[in-house]
Amino acid sequence: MDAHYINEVLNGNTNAFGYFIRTYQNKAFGVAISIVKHEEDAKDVVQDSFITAYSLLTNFRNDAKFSTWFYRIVVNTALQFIKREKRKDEVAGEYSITDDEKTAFNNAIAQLEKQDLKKLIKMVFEKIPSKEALILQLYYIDDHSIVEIEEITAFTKANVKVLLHRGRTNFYKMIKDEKIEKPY
Amino acid sequence: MKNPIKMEDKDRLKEILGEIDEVNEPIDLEEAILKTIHKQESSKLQIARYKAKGNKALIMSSILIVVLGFLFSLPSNVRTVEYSIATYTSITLILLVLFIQLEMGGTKIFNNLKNNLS
Repeated sequence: MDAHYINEVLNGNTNAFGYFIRTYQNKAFGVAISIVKHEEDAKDVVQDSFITAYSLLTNFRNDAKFSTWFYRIVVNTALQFIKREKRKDEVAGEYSITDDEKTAFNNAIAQLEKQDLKKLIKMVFEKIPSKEALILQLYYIDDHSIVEIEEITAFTKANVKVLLHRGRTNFYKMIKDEKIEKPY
Repeated sequence: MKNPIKMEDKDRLKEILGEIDEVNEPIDLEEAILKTIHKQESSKLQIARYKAKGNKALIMSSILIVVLGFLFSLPSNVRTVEYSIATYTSITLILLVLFIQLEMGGTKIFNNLKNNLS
C-alpha cells in the first residue's frame, strides 16, 4: 500500500501524500511528544517531519519499511528541536524496584480503566527523560521490537536495552511517587 | 560475560500497556501539511521560472554586448576609434546598471520565496 502511494507522490500527485499523513500522524505525534514533552512543539515536529519526508521521498529505498524510515525522521527532528531549544535531557538517578513492588504496581495499573491508564502513562512520559520516554513509547505503546527501535533511533542495541531498563524503573518510580490510587 | 541487563522473559508491563494503542488525543494535520507542501511546490516553481528568465536575460545581454562590441569595433570612416570605445563602454555600463537594478529588485521577491520555503 505504502509503495503505491510513494509512486503516486513521485509521479507528481502531491495529494497522495495525504495517505501518509492520515496513516502515520498520530503515531508520529506520540513519538514526538515523548521527546519534546509539549503538545504544540510536538505538532510542529510532526509537521516538519512530514515536509522533510516529502522532500526526501526520492531517496527512500522501497526495500525498507516506510514507517521505520519516517519515524527515524521524526526522532531526529524532535532531538534537533530540543537541542535547538537548549533543553537538557536530564538523567534521572538510578532507582531499584524490588520484584514484589513491581508485581504490586503491575497489579494496580492492570486494574485501571483504559482512560485512566492513558492519563497515567501520559503523565509519566512527561516527567521522565526524553530518551527513556521515547524508548518506552516505541516498545510498549507502538509495539516495536528492539531491532526496529535500533533502526528508528540509531541507538545501539545495548543502549536501547539500558534506556528501556531505566525507563521501566523510572516508570514504576513515578507511580510510586504519585500513588496509584490518585484519579488521573 | 553476558549482558548484565537481561530482558525479562515475561514482561507484564508489555502485556498491560499492549492494550493501549494511543496515549494522546488524535490530531489532524493533513490540511495544514498539504497546504505547506503546495505552497513550497509553487515557490519552487516560481524560483525555477525566475531562474530561467534570468538566464535568458543574461544570454540576451551577452549577445547584445558582443554584437554591439563587434559593430562599434568595425573601422568606420565616419566615426573615430575613440568615439567607438566611448559608445561601447557607455552601453556596457548601462547594461550593467540595468542588470544590478534588476538583481536588487529581485532580491525582495527571492527573499519572500525563500521565506515560504523555510
